[in-house]
Amino acid sequence: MYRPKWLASVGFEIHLQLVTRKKLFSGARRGVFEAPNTSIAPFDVSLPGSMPILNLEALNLAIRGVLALNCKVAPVCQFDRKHYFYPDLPAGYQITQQEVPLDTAKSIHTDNVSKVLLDFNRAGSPLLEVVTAPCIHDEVTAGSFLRKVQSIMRHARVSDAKMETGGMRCDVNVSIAPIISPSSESLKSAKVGLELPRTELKNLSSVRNVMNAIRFEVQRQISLAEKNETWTTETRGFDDKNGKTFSLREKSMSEDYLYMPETDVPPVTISKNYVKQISDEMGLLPDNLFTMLTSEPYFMSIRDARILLNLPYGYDYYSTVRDIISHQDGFSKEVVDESLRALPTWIITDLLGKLHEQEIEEDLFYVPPNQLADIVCFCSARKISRLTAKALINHLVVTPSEQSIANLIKELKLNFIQDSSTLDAQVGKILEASPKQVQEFLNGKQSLLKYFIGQVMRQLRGRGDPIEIEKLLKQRLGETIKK
Amino acid sequence: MAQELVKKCLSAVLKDAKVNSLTSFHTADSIKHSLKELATKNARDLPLNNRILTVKDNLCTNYWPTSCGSRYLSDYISPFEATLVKTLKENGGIIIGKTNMDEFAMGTSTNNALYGQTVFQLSEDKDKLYQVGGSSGGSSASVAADICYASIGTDTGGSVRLPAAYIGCIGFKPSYGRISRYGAVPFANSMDTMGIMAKDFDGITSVFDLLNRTDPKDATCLSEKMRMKIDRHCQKYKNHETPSIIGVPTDWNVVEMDNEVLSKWNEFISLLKSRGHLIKEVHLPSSLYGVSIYTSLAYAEGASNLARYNNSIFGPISQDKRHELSPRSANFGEEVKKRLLLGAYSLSSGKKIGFYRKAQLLRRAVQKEFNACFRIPSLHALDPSGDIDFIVTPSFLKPSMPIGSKTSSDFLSDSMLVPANLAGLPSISIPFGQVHNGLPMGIQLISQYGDDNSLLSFSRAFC
Repeated sequence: MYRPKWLASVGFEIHLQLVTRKKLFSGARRGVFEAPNTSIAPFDVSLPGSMPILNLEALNLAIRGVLALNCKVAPVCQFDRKHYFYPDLPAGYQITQQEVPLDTAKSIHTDNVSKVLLDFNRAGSPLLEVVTAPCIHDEVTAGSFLRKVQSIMRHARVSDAKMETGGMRCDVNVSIAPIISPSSESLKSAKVGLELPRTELKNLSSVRNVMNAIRFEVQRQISLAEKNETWTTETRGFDDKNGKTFSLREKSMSEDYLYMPETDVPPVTISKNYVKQISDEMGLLPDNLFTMLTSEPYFMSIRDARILLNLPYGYDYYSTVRDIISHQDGFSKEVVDESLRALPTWIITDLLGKLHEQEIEEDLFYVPPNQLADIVCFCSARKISRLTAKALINHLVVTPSEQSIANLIKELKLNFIQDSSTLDAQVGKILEASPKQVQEFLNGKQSLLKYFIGQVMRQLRGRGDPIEIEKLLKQRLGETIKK
Repeated sequence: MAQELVKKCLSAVLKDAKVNSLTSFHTADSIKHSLKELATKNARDLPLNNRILTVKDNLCTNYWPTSCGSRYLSDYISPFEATLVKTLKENGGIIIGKTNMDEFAMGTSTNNALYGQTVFQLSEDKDKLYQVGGSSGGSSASVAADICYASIGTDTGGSVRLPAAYIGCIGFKPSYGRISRYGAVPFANSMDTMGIMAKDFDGITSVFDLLNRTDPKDATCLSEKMRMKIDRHCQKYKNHETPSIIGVPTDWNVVEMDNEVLSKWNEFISLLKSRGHLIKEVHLPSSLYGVSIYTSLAYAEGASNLARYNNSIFGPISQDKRHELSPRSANFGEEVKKRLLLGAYSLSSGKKIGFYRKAQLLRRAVQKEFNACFRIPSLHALDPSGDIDFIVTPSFLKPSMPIGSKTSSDFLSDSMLVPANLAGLPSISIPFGQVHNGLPMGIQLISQYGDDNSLLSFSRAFC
């Protein structure tokens, strides 16, 4: 029986950039991809005599973030100065919040998040800092946790939480402890000995890297421990090319930041009413959405719902397309219903699949909602074949177009061929060219019917109506039998 | 108009040659600059009506450098103006120059490596030069030499009232938060207050009326709503009977107090009695720790505010490799360095248990004791109140001394004035005769937070 000797513990310090229009204290625009030094104000470069003014939008987003993570909002929001010298920290201090132990520590869903603080980074953009207890014990759970945080933050419109572009930064604390008496219930309830020196992992650029880094680091620590070697608390980075962590610097435990209250920003009292207002205006969060989507009238599969909700703005996209389809005139109720039923598959299998194949970002909006709505409806109404619909989606992902689907179909010559004579001609050609298969079919191999349909479709470049083709095939083959 | 201005400027330059109060003043170019600005308004209709003013060199102006008396900012020209500078100019004031100060407002002697020592001449025939005090010594010296109608300085621990008292003019520090600090280079953000100096009481009030307004760029500047609330509150408790009740903190009569200063204090108390006011003894014992509290808190805030002078954005580029000193060591004066060390030390034991924390608690005690005196209850805290309208003390323990002389109690020079900074209270120093054959004596009056206008109208009667 596998008896684990070590319990790994993982804690996170996550920084989420809030999607405010302006920076936290300076009134300058929160430029994300702007030319250097074009969205700065005197306060951002610490000009003498400049003063901070708290951006209320940031406070609101922070409160939303806190609520979305099921934490409590502290009644007073006050700031401190944290002093250290760093080249791009012009003031020599950062306005942040030292922990306020009361209130924020308690939460209803206890497991993951213990503290949520408002921070501000070197460039002046507002950050939400989420600190967890070391209650995660493996990298898979860690990955799921991070993706869940991303999903929640995106749905709450607090942050885009994209690690690749700095929307989310993740520092991970990893340590191991020897298991003294294992528990049959769960790893968490095992009795453990003294925790060995902790490592802080920094500069991780994606969730995948976080997971790989955790896995490697735990293994590294276990190897050292089993050889009875010791190591010191340190900060390490992760090289995603060789999959290993490496030392960045000795973590100096005695770094004194000389915390001091920031008196230029008077404390803000946050009333319960204010919090309630914000809470009332919040949209549905992933968990509620999941319940909704897997029930009436959506009846999405669990897998589809989960994938959709994990995509950036997946639910937004889906609901927009849904709305468009529901309000289409020119289609019968059956077509609309069929379209709505088929929609999740179109999005998750076909559209997302193409995005993955092209190795571009998971942005469903590559195919604008109205275009997808048209494609799905046309297909359900059998104006185009399924293959054509897929081809259109593929085309639009690679070559975005503002044209209406109707025009695109004409332009790309993808119209559905339903004309019996044209189809019949093709059917005839295929049957003539495949005498062997015809014989096998007549001998009983019914599955070859699909083969014939496929061949005809290939000839027609997918534009044929498969149902009509099948009808014609059966007719011809039936005649042959009769012969 | 132009001629008059030129005349005034020339005379200012001549007067300044003796006292060294200004760090920058009008050249031909800058006169043209000021005239261009004035041309757009008819100054006769404006409240300040071409009055000549000076401002301390830690207030940002976009024409002259804002050096704060430091090598670090010797050529720094701010891209934005302090709100109060803008307001003064918009209302007809002509700012004729910036005044000398202790480096980064840290000190009481107005002496620095950049511009040297500012001095005070007791009288024309005495050639002995006296201390102007600090840190707004240049402001007071420019007022004393009749270079300007009024001067704006900053008062963190007495830095407007002390120099005013030393040279014998009026120095007023309003309630914290009344005048915008936007554009004033901070020393201690929780104590810095813009102050006004003038020989004429109208100089004080005309400037204060203009600057006493809200500013959205400064979050600590009282909002419109808050101002109305405070004014209503003070009105509600105002003493409508003529004899005011004056509080005299007898525990502030410490052994270091000069005998003649003590006599003058008594003389002023007698004067008050003779005008029909009632005198009551009060106790403000925590204020006696004022200087220590101030050292723990203000120096810490100062160290924080000076942390930005650490890289190549500010400061002269050192060509001199001989020194091998870090830029901070090379460019800061001794007093600043001392305060930076003390400030860092104060913060170093952590927010919960260090000196900074203890000093904060004691600061609250100082405020509580003041609240227990005043008739007007505090709007901030539910502290018990008393029946005092104004508190009266000397402005200093000892009057000005000749340049260069030192005593062991120099560090106490602000001790009478610091408590009002700790509690954010409005305080004014008015001249009251002389001590020791000609040295100006100053009397301090303090009132409850927000009660600035009563304080001013009461004090006017003694000027």
